[in-house]
This record gives sequence, structure tokens and C-alpha cells, in this order.
Amino acid sequence: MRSATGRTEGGSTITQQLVKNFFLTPERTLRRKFTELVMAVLLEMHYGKEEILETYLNEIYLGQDRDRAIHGVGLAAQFYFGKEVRHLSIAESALLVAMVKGPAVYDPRRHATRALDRRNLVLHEAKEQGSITLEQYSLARAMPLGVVPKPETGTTPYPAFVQLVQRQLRRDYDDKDLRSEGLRIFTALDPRVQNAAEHALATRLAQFDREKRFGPPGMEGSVVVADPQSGEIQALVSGRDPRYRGFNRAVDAARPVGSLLKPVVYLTALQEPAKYTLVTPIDDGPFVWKSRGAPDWEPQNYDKKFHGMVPLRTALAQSYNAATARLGTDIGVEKVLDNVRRLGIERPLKPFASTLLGAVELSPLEVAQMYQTMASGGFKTPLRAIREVTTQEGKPLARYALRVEQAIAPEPAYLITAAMQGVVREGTAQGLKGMLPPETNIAGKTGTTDDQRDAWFAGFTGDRLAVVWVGYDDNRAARLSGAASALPVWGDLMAALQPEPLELAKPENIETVLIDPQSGLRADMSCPGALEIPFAAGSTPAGRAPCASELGVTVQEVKQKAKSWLDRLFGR
Amino acid sequence: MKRYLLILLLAGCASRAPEPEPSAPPPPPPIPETPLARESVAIAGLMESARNDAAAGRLVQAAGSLERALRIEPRNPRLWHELAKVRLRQGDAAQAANLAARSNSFAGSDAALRSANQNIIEQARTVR
Repeated sequence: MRSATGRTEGGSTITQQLVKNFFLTPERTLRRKFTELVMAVLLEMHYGKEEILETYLNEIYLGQDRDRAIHGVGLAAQFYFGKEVRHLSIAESALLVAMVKGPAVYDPRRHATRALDRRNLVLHEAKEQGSITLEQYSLARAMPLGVVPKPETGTTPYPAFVQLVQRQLRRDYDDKDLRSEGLRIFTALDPRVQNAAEHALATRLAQFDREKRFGPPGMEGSVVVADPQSGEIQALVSGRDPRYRGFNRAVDAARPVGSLLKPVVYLTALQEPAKYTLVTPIDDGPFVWKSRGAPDWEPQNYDKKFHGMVPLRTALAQSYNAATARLGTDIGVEKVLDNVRRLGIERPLKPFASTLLGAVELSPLEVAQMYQTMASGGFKTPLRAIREVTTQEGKPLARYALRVEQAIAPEPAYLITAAMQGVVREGTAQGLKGMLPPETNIAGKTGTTDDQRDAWFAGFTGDRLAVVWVGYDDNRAARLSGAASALPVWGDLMAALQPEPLELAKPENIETVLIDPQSGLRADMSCPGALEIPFAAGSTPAGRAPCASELGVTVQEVKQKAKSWLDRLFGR
Repeated sequence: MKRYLLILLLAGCASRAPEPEPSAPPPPPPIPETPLARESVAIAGLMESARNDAAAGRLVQAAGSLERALRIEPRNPRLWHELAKVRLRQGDAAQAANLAARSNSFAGSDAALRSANQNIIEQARTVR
């Protein structure tokens, strides 16, 4: 399409335009023109034409949404058609190409006829060059412009997100500064993610209401989506009506978190690799906790059964309460709470044993912070709704810089993430299996509180972290577990975003070995159902499983190892 | 004619020209299209402007470019390393050390980068 890739004003090639848009400031000097030319030549030598064109398409100016410049075909597709680029029709794509020459002159909302004429010219060119068939041409030509209405001025379609932005600003700036003109605020909101989150929540809540027939008011919910590496909040849904400007459940509704706190208990255990690995047997027998002045605490399991000795990773995957309570009180409640603080929870928590099982009220945003630290290998990055604040002239004010803090050592962070992948692969979150490709390797945790008043799912992929809460505002029992309600919302939301697989950067001191799940000992390929399990260096089990004994290890030796393992197991 | 001469002259001066030396063996065949390869134009550009800004003492701008690049490639250990260097120059030793550690977490077997990060961590310690 010559009209798209040809020369425009000033005789720049596409490559030069790219250089201008991307690398340099918009001043016009001769020297700059030369630099531009040189960079363009270098760029063309180094990168293929296709890459350059692609980058160009991602940077090109295609219109103006009030103060916001629309750069790139991706944003333009959203702005004009409300859809993703890959879903554009031939006619719609041609309209974007038509606008390259002058987004204001050919603005399809303001100059529809002019835009239509030019779009049809582009279609004609495309047909002449053989990019589209005659039939495609005729069909596309007959199509209307198909532009969606522009959102109203003065109101934001995302009141919950804007509320958080205002709050973060008010924390850092005087009201006076905010009222006086001059600051330009760039937020991290990603409309595509926000729309996916709103849609997933609304659709599922409507479905639960129909199934429950409790009558109004219906179930409520909230969602937080963030980038685990940068800590940027990409979406915030405060309830089933996302346009409602009231109570912000995602930020202000602190609800009991239930099992969402369990990963912290196991993380704390895994910080002592000499004592705890992912395969260490944990006792899920009946457990009673006595403390003076308080009734005995006897946590029950969700299935009302006790499971005896289970590997540590299974206790987390199946969310066993008795095993977790015993493990947490063995390690020490204070130690676990110390980790909760390190992970980013600032509100004070009561040092009770029941806290271990989530008798703690947190907002979805706080939960997101806690999981962000685990999701990024132990590096806490404060969650931010604001990307940058600049003066009217565009001078950046360095207030919202990316900050990281190594809160947890890389090895235990890696191990707990692997354990949370087990929750999805073989535990309480297996429901996600049918919703997303298995290679996404999601890590996450379900949470359900007493009488199923609160249902949670918190989890992450390679590029996104999301926390979903579902329940009733009046605290009615929803009779839906986290796996049955919050998890499907999470799954729908992520499926719409096609997340990147979670590939953990393996710390130096982690080794992965084959383990026989029955014995918890070293396995080899001849062991049926052997699993690859990561260990902190030096904590790998020494013994070989019976199925692996032909590896030159005598049966006697295996028996010896097994005996010492059993001794350790029951001697505790 | 004059213009081409200038291009060659300027190209010769560009210190970080991605063009291989004439005497060097022919470059390996281009890597097949991966998302990484496609992003690299943007990353290279942002790295370059960050280096220029840093060299000229515009540290806030340099950090801004690096943060932008990190949004595209959050697992690129070089970007975390460069940001650590900028923070160290800004006198934020604690952040420098944390960012260098973050770089290490993605550095894999890149020994040179690891030792450069270690260097920053130690410098940060003496500053504090």
C-alpha cells in the first residue's frame, strides 16, 4: 500500500520517521536531520524492513483523545473501533491506513465523508496491488466506517482506578498543587485489561446470582490486576457495576483472606531448607492449639477428614488446615507474621495461631501486594497506579520511580512459587486447567472463609498478577468456595488476555531432581509418576526410591535410607 | 554526494554502531522472528537514549527511558543493571543495591554482568 508506506512531509522515509518518533526530540535543525539520516541508515543495516515497519506501526500518530495522543495501530484500533488489531476487518484496517496522512483531517468521527472517501481510495490501491481480491474489495467498500462513539468528556469510565490515583497523589502532593493546573498524570491503567476484568466479573456474578436465587442485592466482587515485575496496577474493578463511583471494594473492603495466607506459612518453612523441603512429610492429623484465656483451637479440614503424613507441597496444594496450623505453630506465628510484613502488608496483624489460617482481614489490593513480592522472585515493588507525574512542560518529577526491595531470598521465593504451581497442577485450583493452556504454568492459591462468606483466588502468570474476591456486602454466606467462584472469574479474565507462561528465573542455588512421589526419595526415569522437584542446594534428599534401586544402589542401602527416613518421620 | 560522505563520516564516529567491522566474519543468519527480536529495536533505542542522557548527567530522564524499556522487557538483566548504575549516581545506594540484585536474578550464567552487579552492591555498601 503505497499510500501507507510512501513518502510524507519533508521527504522522510519510514525509517527516518521512526527514528524521529522514537529516538529524538521534535526540534528541527539541520544537524538533527543528519543524525536522523545516519540513524536511519544504521537501523536499516541492522534490522529487517519488516521489523522497522512493525515498529513504525506501533509508534505512528493516529489521532488525539483530548490530551492523549493516540500512537500506534494497537491503541488506534481500541480508540476508533473498540477492538484489538488482530480483530480488525479489511475495511477498518484500511481506515487506519487512510488516517496516517492526517489524523485530524481524516478524523472519521468529525469528517466522516472525507474519511470514507480516503478509506475507499486505500482499498482501491490495495486491490490494484493485489493485496486483496476483487471480492474482498467490493465487500470492504460497502462497509460503513464502523467507528465506536468516543467516551464522554468530564467523566471517567474507570472511577475506581481514578479514585486510587487521586489517593496516591494526595498522599504525595498538597491539595493546592493538585488543584492548580500544571501536573500531568500518566497512569498505568490498561483499558484492555480493565475491560477484560470488568467483563469477567460481571458475567460470572450474574451467573452465580441465577444459580443461587438469593434475591437482591446480588453477589459482589472485586478484581486487581498488576504487572508482577513493575508493580504497575493495570486494572481495578470495585464491584459488579464498574461505573459506580462509591465504595471501592478493591481498595477499601478488608475481608478475611482464609487460605490466601497459607503460602506465607510454607514460605517461612522453606526458608529453613535443612528442616523443610517441598517433599518433607507434614502431619495432617487432628491438631489442638491451647492458649491461656482462649478456647482451644481445633482447625478442621475442608473435607472434614485428616490425611496423616503428607508431603509439604501436597499440604499446600490441597490447602490442608490441620497440617498448616501444625507447621505454622512449629515454626512460630511471629516468624510467619514477620514474612507477611516483609511481603508488603503494613497493617498490624494479631499474633494468634488462627491468623495462620487467614483469620485476617485484608483488601484485595493488599493481597495483590503480598503476592507481587512472591511473583517476582522475592523482590517487593510497591504497587503503583501512577506511572509518572510531569510538569505542564513535560519535565518528569521523580516521585513514582520504579523501586524494588529484596524482601525474600531468591531460593525460598522460587520454591514457594513452584509449590503454588502445584496448587493449579494437582491441587484445589485444578479448575483452571480447562480454562488456560497447561504450559501457562500458573501459580496461585484459592481462599475460602468460614461458611463460605468470602471466596478468593490470587495467582500469577509470566506477565500478570490478579486477585479476585467474591462475596456479599452484607456478609451473607455465599456457599461458594474460592475454587467455585473467584477462580472462574480469574480464569475468564486471564484467558481473555492470553497471558505469557510463567517461567521462573532459577536462582543459582536451586537444583531440580526427580522425586518418587510415594517415598519422597530420589527417583529415575524408571519410576512411574516421578516428578521434577526443586530443592535449595544441599537439601536434596539423599536416599533413592525403591523404584530407582537398579542404579547400582543395593537394596540393603535403600532399606537403610528408607528406615532413616521413617525414623525422621516418626521421631519428630 | 556530499550527503553520503557525511553519512560515512558520521557512521565512523558513532561509537555504538551496530554495524559489524568490515574485517569481521560474515554475521550469522538473522534469528527467526521472535517477540524478543521484534522488541529489540525499541529496547536498543531506549538503552541508547538512556546512555546518552546518563552521560550528559540527565539522570531522571535516563532512568525514565530504562523504566520504559523494562516495561517491554522486564526480564532483561542489562536494563536492571543500567538502572542500578543510574540510581547509584543519583546517590540512592539502597535502590542501586536492590536493582543490582534484581539484575543478578535474571543474569543466568553471564559472569561479567554478575561481577558488575556485585561491584555496584559493594559500592552501595561503602556509600551507606
